[in-house]
Amino acid sequence: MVKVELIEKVEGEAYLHYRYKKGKIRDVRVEFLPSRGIEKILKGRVLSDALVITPRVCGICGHSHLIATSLALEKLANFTPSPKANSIRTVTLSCEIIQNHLKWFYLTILPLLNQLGFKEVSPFEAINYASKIQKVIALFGGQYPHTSYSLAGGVACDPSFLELLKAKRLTLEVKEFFNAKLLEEIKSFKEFRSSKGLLKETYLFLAKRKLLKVGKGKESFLTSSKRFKKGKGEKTRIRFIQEEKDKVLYKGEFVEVGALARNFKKGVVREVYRKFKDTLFSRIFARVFEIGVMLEKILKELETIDLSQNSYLPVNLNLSGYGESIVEAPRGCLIHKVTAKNGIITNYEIITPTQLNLSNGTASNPSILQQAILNLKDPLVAQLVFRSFDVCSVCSTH
Amino acid sequence: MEKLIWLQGVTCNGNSHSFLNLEGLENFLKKFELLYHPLLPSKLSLPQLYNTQCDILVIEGGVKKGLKRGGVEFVKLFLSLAKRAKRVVAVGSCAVYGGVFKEGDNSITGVLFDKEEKTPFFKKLSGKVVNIPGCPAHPEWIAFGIEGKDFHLDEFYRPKELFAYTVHSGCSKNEYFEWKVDSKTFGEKEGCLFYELGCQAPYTRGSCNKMLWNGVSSKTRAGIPCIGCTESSFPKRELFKTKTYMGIPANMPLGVPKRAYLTLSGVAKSFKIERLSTKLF
Repeated sequence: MVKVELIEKVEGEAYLHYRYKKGKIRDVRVEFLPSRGIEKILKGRVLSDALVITPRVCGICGHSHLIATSLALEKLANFTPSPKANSIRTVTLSCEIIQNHLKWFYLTILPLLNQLGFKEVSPFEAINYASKIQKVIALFGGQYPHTSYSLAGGVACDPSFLELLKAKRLTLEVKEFFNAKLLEEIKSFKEFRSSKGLLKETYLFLAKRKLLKVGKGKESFLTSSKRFKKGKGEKTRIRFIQEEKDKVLYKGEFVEVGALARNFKKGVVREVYRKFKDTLFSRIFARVFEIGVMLEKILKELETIDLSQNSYLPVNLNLSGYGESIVEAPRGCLIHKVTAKNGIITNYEIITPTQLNLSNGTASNPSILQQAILNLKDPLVAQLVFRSFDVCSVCSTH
Repeated sequence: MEKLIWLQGVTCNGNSHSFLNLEGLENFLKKFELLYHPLLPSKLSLPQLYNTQCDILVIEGGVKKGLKRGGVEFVKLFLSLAKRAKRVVAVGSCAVYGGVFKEGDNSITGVLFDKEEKTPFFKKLSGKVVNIPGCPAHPEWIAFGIEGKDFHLDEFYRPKELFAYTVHSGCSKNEYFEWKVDSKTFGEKEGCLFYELGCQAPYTRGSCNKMLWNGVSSKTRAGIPCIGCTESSFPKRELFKTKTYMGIPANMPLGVPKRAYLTLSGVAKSFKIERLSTKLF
């Protein structure tokens, strides 16, 4: 039996084409809206225009596209920015990840859990804190969404200690909310089990519904620095990421990207991964836990910024050649590849995290999502697994 | 209570996310019955929207024939809602002029305008449309479009309350503009971005420096040239370089005759203001 389901509020929409057999999902294919032609729009423009155009791929992770463009252009120009510029980029990119994860949990996961019987949680307090962390981006980038403050050569801003102090104050406020409402500071899974917060409540709910271990993936991960296969890691090489018609593969294999891929070797997430493997709960845990990781990262990075360094150094972009970059966007690896002739873009390719997680494979070689949804019966649970990958429709239809 | 639907055409979701940054969002939304928003919990699903009566229709994204939303032809869905609505708020430059995606598909238009030309919807809808351009639009602008009244609209149906100003008004680099002290490079507090680095703020309408972004800053305050995102010409080409004609910026500050500009800038340039020619600290 074939069934088509419209999934809304995934930064746009997606259609899931399910094939059921004896009441169980045997296969799923994902269909998004048609492409919006960003790569085509970039052709024929000067290289620096990409800094304005690519953020417009996505309203929630446009900043990652900006950083990916900056790095690809710097690679093309063989330029290394100052540590100060790098630190500021790390701060703003981490802020983007935090606001994304907060919105994902409160606007896409909790409402669905509510449909499954979990308590109703208003999203507005979390939205307010998501806005607060965006203020930190705006302190350096002028605005969010859609700044173009990161350039080939560094960053356009020239902050003083005033901005650093304010950024720290705002970050600490978000941290306070995070620890009070979502997840206390924990050092082990044991501590998590005796902690308080929405993530713990989610855990108990999923445990009661026997949903902790649904949505098992393929134990195949990719981050911007490492490719992990059955626990073993090797250095990530962009040239091994191949985009085909409706799928993206790494050396011919499907890979999972995102918060779980980034954190499954680290700290408490490592413990969770050992217990639950790459399942629904591990993905939810990793993404919520990562908010805390990113908050700490921002606080640390703000301390290291040396204001006496250059924010920006001029880079000649009247170049011919090829540049590429891979960035950890909120939802996983984001890849940009640019080719130019005499400073004019002749080709621009973007591969987004959702394309990696939601590829369309075959019955004998399913993609990560297809594997994760296999044999589920309840469409709501299948949707929950689908959303656990933090799907971005607009990124997929760049 | 007025019913509100937020519908999307060809978009990046940027305005939906910008709107979430509205201070007091929860209380603002309490004034409306939110039938649909692309991110927020709302009463209806997309396939239920066709022919629904709403009082305020917010439209984000460009209008494109053939695009489907929730299984329904987008143009048909949009018109079914727009004709019943009391007010249509076109939010973001895509919904106002066609926007960034028009660069790749010329058939995409705004609700009332296709760049500067009137669209076929103009006659039917112009009486109830208010345009809030920007890429994205500022959350306060969006809120004003939704609940404001007695708008003073300009020729592009933008409220003058927001768009009678230029982005230049209130820029913290204004003194450098006044005394013609250029920024030669990015990453510095000092200098104006208008002369070399492509800033379009003096001829772009918007209140980015009047009501700050995220409550804290703006592009130009953070050293980024204004990219003119509230205007029909967005996105122009070579956005980080000022087009010049015989060494003079090709685009004048809004409404300023070239002769007046040249006279004034010549005088300003003839003085060297020590405080403005050295690092602030």
